[in-house]
Amino acid sequence: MPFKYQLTLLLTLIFSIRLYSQNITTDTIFIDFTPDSLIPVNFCFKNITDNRKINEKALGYSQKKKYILIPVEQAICLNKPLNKSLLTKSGTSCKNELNLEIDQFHIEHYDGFLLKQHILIANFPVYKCSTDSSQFLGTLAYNFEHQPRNKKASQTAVYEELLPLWHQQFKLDMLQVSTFAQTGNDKPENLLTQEFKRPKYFNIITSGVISIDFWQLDGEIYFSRPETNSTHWFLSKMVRYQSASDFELFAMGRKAEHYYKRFNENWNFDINSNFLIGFVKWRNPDEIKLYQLLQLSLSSYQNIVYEPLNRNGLIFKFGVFENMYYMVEYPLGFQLGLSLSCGYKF
Amino acid sequence: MGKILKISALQILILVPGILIAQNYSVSGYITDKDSRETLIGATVQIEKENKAVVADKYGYFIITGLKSGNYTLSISHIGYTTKQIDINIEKKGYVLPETKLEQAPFSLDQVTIVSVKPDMVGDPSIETSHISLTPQMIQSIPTAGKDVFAAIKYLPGIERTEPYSPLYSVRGGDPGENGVLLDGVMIYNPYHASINSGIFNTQTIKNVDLLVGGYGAEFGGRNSSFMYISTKDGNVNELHGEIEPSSYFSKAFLEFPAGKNASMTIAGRYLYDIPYNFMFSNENYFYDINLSYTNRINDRNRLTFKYFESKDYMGYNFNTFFKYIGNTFDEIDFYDNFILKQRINWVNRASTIIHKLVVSPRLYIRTQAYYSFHNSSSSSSLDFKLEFSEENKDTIRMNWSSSNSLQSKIADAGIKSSVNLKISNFNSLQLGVEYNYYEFVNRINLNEVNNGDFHQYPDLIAAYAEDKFTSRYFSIRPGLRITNYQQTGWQYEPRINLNINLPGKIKFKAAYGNYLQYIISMNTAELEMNQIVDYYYPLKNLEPTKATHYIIGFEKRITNTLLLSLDSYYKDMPNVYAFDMNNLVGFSNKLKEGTGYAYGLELTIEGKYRNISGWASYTYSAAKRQYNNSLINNGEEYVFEYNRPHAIKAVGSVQLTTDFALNGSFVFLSGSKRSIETTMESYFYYNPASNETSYFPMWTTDKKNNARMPPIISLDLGIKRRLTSGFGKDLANFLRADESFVSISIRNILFLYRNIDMYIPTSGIPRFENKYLPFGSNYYPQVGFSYTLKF
Repeated sequence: MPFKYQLTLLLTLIFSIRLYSQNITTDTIFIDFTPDSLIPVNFCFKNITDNRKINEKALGYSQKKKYILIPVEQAICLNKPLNKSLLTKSGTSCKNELNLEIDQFHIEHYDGFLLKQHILIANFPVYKCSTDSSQFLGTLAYNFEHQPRNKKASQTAVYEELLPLWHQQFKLDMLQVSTFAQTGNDKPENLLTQEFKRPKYFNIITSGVISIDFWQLDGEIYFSRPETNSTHWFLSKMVRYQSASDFELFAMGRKAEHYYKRFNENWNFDINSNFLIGFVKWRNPDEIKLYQLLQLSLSSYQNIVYEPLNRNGLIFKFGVFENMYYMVEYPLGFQLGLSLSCGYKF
Repeated sequence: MGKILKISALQILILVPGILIAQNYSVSGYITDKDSRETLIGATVQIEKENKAVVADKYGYFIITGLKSGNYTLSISHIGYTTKQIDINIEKKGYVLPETKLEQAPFSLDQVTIVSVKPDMVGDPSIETSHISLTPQMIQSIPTAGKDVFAAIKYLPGIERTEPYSPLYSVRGGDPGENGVLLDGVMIYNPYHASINSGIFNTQTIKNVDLLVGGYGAEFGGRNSSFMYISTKDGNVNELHGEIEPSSYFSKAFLEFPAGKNASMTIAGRYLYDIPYNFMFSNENYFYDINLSYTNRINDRNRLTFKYFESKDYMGYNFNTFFKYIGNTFDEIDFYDNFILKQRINWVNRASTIIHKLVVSPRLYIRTQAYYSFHNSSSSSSLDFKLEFSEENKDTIRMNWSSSNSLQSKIADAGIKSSVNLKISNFNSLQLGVEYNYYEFVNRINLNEVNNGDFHQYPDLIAAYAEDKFTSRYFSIRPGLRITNYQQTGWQYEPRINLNINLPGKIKFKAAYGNYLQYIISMNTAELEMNQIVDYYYPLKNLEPTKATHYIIGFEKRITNTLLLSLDSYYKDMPNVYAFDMNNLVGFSNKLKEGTGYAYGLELTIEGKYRNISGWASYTYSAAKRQYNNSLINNGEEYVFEYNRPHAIKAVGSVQLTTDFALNGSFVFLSGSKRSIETTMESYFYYNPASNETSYFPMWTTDKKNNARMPPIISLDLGIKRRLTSGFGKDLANFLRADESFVSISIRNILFLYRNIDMYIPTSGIPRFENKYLPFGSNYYPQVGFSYTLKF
């Protein structure tokens, strides 16, 4: 009897969950972070303060799924507090000392269709201290992207590979910051001097597409960090309404994948690739079967984007749109159109 | 009016000596939440030195009597709050404590204990048996309940679902129409959303739910089986707080905020849009419900509250497109090609109330309430189909079915009630109350374009009650009497008594006897409708009220501080019940069939908390019978009541695995209910004046009511609740400056390989399914639900 097997399997699962509940709810990965010592250190930290409201050893939390369905928080921890890990040696005979704060420091896993990588995200407000004053120099911001050399490497191994690489970059940047603090010249690109209301921007975009035989409206929302690199990837949530000659479509997608390349302070190029699942309303239902109410579509935009660097405000895009859709027992469809988008970055 | 004055004069005559008798020292006051100043029902106030403890009542009010003058330390605690200790010096009689504000303990999911250790106070659970309290946390912890009160209560012992697609419920063998639902004291008629088969109450607004399933006191009357008393929040008097829960199916939001000095408001709403189905099948389904509340804490002794509630359902099903898709998908069956089914349902509920609470003295508390409740449900459906079967060597069968019906049930209920609570002495407390209701009823039924009943009626009802509770160290007893006068036809008496005896070994013996009368009945249409999803209320006229007498005995044993074992046994005599025969011609009262019934049963429950697991598990044995003499219902012979399921095992549990992660589960085993399985097909021909055609109407019949028992129902559902610490949901919470964001996932019907059968449909006459009964069920597949909540 299949029901008996199902019951047995279920009871086994429940008891396993009970026995190993700790594993299901939290995982902790300990990272052995050996700071890089090849680059000479001749900048001076007075103090490093950890402002994060989490365990001082933690590099943050990520989420993974266990037993296919159960979301599990995974804590990534160092063997000693983060501020002590960063503060290895300091130079001597410093005229100016630097105070560093840790506002953000965590590792995110970017899991797109086209790209999978780890990103170390960090924000360090930097202050120049003299005997009687403290001057804000800027926020040293990182979106440090890393793709592991060995794709089958364990998560721990990937983090242990990523951290020293980032630390090399960090020390080079700090050397530059130290020089900038003394001379006021040669500001590092990722030292952002403006104040940020929030750690992330909230973006909302509406896109209209028009073609000979269809028109559509797309809505997108996503969060983006202040930009520090000339190229970057991000994921957005998307909904679509399409009016075609045979049908209307309402579709949704969780991961519309964007590749952004910045030309200058205001202009970008954006390639958006997305996979959507949609419900179809047929104009003539006479020959339509139940399973033809679902549509899968794979589409892409290539847009020129007006979006000022690291500033709130309006976003405009224009470009082309291509779409390929599939429904059971229906010819594979292709669509081409011109797109115009408007949005706001909060 | 003169009668009311006489009753009030009687109250005063009783009260004055009571006040004079009261000579003990006492302490009293309100307990509230420090942030919201919401009254905390069920907060515990303890004086350890005197070994005295009381719980705050449904208004957050407490009183401890029998004290001498002197210094005391009060310890005030509530689940989820930091315990507060207050030193007081009682020098004069009637010490009134300033409002005591408890501070919420730092939040962590592990404080969400789904069974509260302390009972809440509607009625008096310290003496009543068959009194169950539900908190919003308990409702939300049941994965399949969908955060709905009416789905949640079906996991309690003694409460059974009626039909598989109906929100109605049966309590201890009673008819669904014998259950009363009170929202802040206002009777709500048909409090269900037709489109989602659930209740109209947004759990975000609910403070507490009390269920009285038998042996309840004289304060409650007019319903013979049970009362559900829902208390809603009064709002945060200090700052804005709220909760938003968006989804693709329906969204809801709740806001509470200060509205002037010492005043607060709440606004809550839900809206269902059902985008996928409305879009794909051109349906026009929606519902909404809104709650508004304004509370002014005028001073420590006076509170004025205004509440408004409205809900509306509109269901416009255009099944034609859907059936066309089915017909195209299953090519062999051209059944659906000419199948035209239309359904329109329009339900509205409105309720408004104004409540004044007055603490005259620490021993005397008066509550006065005026309210108006309105309900209108109208529904119409029509079905036309033409069917032709033709197979080789067989004749062609042609079938033509055409039917339509429309129903309307409108109720307006305007009422005023007042109650007086008087603590006469340390061991004696008295409650008196009066209530007046004026109703308007409109009922209409049209079957196949023929008016099958139409009436307007304007009855009124006067009720008064008195209850006196005597408490000693070893026992407490509460005799009570409710008197009613319906349509000025004379006074009827409903005596009640509750008894509680403390036995050695932390065992309590509880017993209750109660006599109950119901004048506004629901027309039970089980004889006609396969699935009754609404109560058609009908005021009796020139007919005896339905009657029920409850006999209950029970035991409670506290196993540990947090675990309680209870056993309740009941016998319910129903010497007068009605069934509604809609096929009977002319006039509503002629359709009512008078009968008798009885029910008995046993309920064993264990509830509470053990380590990080909390919940309850119960086993119920029950039996219920009905008999309608001088009617065609089962030829006048006794039969097993439709909704009786002899054995029921129900369990709900929540395991708090970490502070951010909880796993919930619910399990139900219900032995099968009785159902009339049709054995014979009869054919009717009738003339349809609308279409000017003679139609053929096949009907399956059986000569024996409830002649088969359905297979048992077994279901297991799991749920997960997780606080978000990363990802899009957390980013959105940060952007909106929300304090918390949660994700709940429910996996319903995990045991999907076990088919829960709802009905068997005979198929004789259709060549392909000759002489077979086709099983129909729901929940054939596991269903995964997802919700996201922002709390700020």
